[in-house]
Amino acid sequence: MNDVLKDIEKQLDSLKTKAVKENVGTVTEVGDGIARIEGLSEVQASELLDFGNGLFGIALNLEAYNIGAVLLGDFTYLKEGDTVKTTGQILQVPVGEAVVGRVVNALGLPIDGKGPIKSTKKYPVEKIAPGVITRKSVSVPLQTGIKAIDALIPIGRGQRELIIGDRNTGKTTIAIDTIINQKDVICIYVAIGQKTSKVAQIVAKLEQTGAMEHTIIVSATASDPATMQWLAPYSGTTIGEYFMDQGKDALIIYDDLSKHANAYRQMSLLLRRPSGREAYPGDVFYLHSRLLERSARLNEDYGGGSLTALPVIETQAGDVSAYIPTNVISITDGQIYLEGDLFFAGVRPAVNVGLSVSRVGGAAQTKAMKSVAGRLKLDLAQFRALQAFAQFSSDLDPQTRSQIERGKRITEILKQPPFSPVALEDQVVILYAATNGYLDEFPVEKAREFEIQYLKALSLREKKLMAEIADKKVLDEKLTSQLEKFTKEFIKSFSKINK
Amino acid sequence: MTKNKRLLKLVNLAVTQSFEKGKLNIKKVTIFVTGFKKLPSNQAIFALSEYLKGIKRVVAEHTAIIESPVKLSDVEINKIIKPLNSSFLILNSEFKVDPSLLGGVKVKIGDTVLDHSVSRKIEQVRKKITGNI
Ligand SMILES: Nc1ncnc2c1ncn2[C@@H]1O[C@H](COP(=O)(O)OP(=O)(O)OP(=O)(O)O)[C@@H](O)[C@H]1O
Ligand SMILES: [Mg+2]
Repeated sequence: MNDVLKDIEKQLDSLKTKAVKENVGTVTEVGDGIARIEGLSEVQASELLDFGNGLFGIALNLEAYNIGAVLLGDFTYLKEGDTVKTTGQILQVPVGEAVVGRVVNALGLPIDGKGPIKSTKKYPVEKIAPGVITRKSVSVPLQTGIKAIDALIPIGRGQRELIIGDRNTGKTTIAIDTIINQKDVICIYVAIGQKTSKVAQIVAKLEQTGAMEHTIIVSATASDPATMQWLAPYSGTTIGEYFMDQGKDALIIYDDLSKHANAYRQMSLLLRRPSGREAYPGDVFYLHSRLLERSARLNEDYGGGSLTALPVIETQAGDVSAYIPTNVISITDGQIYLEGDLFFAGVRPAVNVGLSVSRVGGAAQTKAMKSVAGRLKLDLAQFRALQAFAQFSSDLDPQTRSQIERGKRITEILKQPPFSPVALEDQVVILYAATNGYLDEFPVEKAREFEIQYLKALSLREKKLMAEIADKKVLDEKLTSQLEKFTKEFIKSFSKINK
Repeated sequence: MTKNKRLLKLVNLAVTQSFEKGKLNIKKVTIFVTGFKKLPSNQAIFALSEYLKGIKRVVAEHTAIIESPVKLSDVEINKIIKPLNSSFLILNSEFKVDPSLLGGVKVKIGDTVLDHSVSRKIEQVRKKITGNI
């Protein structure tokens, strides 16, 4: 008790109370999380406004003598004629280690019932993106643990890769799998406009797999005001930026930016801004570009940290040419395209490898993966080309037939159930087996069984080999011949039971 | 929308021209008001209400509202206003008693507030102790 008093005394000694000059305004209209204000002639764009009684807002529409502001919090008691003050600050959210493992709202306040966040550091939610001189090109992989992605659409740390597809095609699952697969990367999952029950399921899954220990969830669900949904991705990015500034690697997922754009549209209509294409306000492109620009890989002079972004976009009936999808495609470094038809045909994850690209991630792919991925791409491309016309002709030449059979087995190997990421070395060896035709002599239905048995046998009998691939991340001649020898042996025993 | 914007610009111009060194020029006001009345009725209502708002705004910019927990004499009020004229052009003043200030004074001119009250200083102490904004 005495210590507390002494502490307070010390603080008060250093405090000089002073007269204050402030800029005030009067509320002229309130509703739907928006307020119109007269006065505040000195306010700046995005400045935090103090409405009193713990209610704050952000100044958005600056007109000659009145402004529009979004309200952050319970505004039931705010009424016409109330006074507003400028604060000279931009909204800040708590950042740092203390936030890790927590579920927070768009203001960075905890909503998981685990008590207050003991963070002493705060960052402003709007920040200038890192400049060109501070950046470095992508060269370290961000392993998702999903075979189809790590092999064919590799993602590098600091990259922005879009996950795009219709509803219910496995977009969120890819994001969550990627979080589960991380070890030294801090993950931030921003849930925008989703059902509260879905977010709860995600939190439960991350807790159950232990991934919550390196994850932060920023949640603005469908039941939160549009303004909170608009703000959430910026708060999440701010939390991630802190780790990047500390020289660490962070990953942020925006699930999803379609709902974010909708929230922004709703907010803009309330602010009476003119609307343009598809009724979105004219600056909706800037809304997402200034968000995604903040993801980067910093060079060594700036600590070498990174922030990787996986934005999610939901399309309607596969239409990627709608306004918001085209915008986001143009500001990302590639996209993972998920297709409803594939999903229903049982190809899950439903990645359309033909339409998916990663424009910079190739530079970050490990040598081990590169040594199998080249062949894999070729086999799949040929398969796609042949597949279409295989349906029409019954008598194919043997070479064509074998290419089709190979393609079917590879497709089977690229399937993967949710929440079971595969380690790099396991991905490399199973893709090695598939692309080298070791599965060709077994029926397609046996492919999954083959994978399970093969990986099990390797982990039991070739521990050293697997450890070496994991460690060096290469598949050199020596390791390849070792693997080849083992695989041939394995085939013999596997065919005894499975022909 | 754009029509209203153009009208609003016009109204704001009229507002500035209705004042001379902070003083309202009644003659000009009459001219502007008669002018606005001639507009189609929906535009006239809009223009007149914006004009009135503008006039009130400018008048407020030249009016000092002084608040204190106890009644102040005219001499005291003038003492408060005088130094303010270096940064504002104060032509009118109003006085209000507000016991919740506890001590000191608070002056409001337009949308600027100069708060020299005891309650505000206590507030600063509270913030320092609790660390809240
Ligand atoms: N690789 C997979 N294998 C099997 N099932 C999967 C796979 N990926 C996703 N699913 C299942 O498909 C369903 C939809 O997945 P998910 O929620 O990830 O899709 P989404 O595109 O995010 O959907 P929404 O549009 O609702 O956000 C879930 O029930 C999930 O378990
Ligand atoms: Mg989803």
